[in-house]
Amino acid sequence: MPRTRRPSAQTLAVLQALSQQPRDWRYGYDLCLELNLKAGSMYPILMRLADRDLLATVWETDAGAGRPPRHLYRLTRSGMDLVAELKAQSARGRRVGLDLRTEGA
Amino acid sequence: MRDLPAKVVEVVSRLLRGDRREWGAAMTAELAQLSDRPARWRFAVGCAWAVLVAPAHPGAYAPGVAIRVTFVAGVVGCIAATAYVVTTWPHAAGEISGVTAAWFVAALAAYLWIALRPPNALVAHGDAARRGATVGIVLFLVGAIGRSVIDAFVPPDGDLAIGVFLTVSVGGTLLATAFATARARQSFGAGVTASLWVALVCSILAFSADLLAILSGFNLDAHMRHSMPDYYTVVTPDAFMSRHIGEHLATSMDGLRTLPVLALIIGSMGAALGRRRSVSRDTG
Repeated sequence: MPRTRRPSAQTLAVLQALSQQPRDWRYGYDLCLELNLKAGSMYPILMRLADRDLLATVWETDAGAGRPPRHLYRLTRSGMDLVAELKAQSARGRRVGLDLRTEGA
Repeated sequence: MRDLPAKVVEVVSRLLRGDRREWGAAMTAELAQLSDRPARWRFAVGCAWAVLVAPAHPGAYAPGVAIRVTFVAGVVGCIAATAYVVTTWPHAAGEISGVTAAWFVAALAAYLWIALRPPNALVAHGDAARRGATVGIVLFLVGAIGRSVIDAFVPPDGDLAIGVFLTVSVGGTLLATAFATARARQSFGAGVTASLWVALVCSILAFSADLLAILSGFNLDAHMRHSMPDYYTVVTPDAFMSRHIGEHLATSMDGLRTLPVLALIIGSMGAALGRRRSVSRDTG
């Protein structure tokens, strides 16, 4: 069951990045670069999100020759619901550590 | 690319618990995409940190980040400080027997293992483990403060007082923690688990503190010279220092394994008593 504790600023940033194009699968390293987060921060966040069924994970099926398949991530329906809830909280003027109000405007 | 960063990620990935292994494979696959050497190193170090602070899988208990970092830092500190001591005072190494040294290496390996992949027996009772770890930190602080107070107020023959104080405080804490936990959880295993975590956390902290004390020369104080005047006059200060440090180091090394064994024995007694009380309370 998802915990009710408010996500950290870094988790919010990951959620926001994943919610920008929710149908696209993303790579972990690309998320690190985009958000300027180290792997040591990114992977524990991804693990927590996946544990709470907020993040869907799959393995790449068309990995290049000689390279192992990569792990891909995108938000689940619950994850999208959480982002929507956080946006609503933000719109109500409550601080959530990240401005989600302008997204999609 | 089979370079050192790849090996680092491969090794740390193996430390992940079974239900987290796919994350190790994910990190390995990401690393394979990177060709820039500094970037590979940065990513590999990040992966090592990720493994260290990886959250417990839902339903399972794993030591919190603070406990894990304490254990790993304690082990690394122990290795570094021990190496420094035996290279700075080579005679000190002569006071450490092969058996003690072997136990020391095994104990450090076990502590590292517990920090990164604790065995199921130690994590089956999550609340008990957490409670024990917390009590272990408190016990270490109380022990350190108590020793300082006794050192300050009961010189120069304070060793007996310190011994009595540590025996009572450590033994009492192990017994009380096991008793209370077993009674609250109505589980013998929970009581023993709590007692073991008290000992594990307390002993790694105490060992690290002991090494710091040795390195700072704190233990070579007046009352030691006072208590060994004959000995001190027939050996050189360097030889005295080496022997004193060696003996102290060997004692500290023994403590790393003695305390967990004591915890198992005393904790079993406390847990048995606590479980018995909880059963009699339920049926009474």
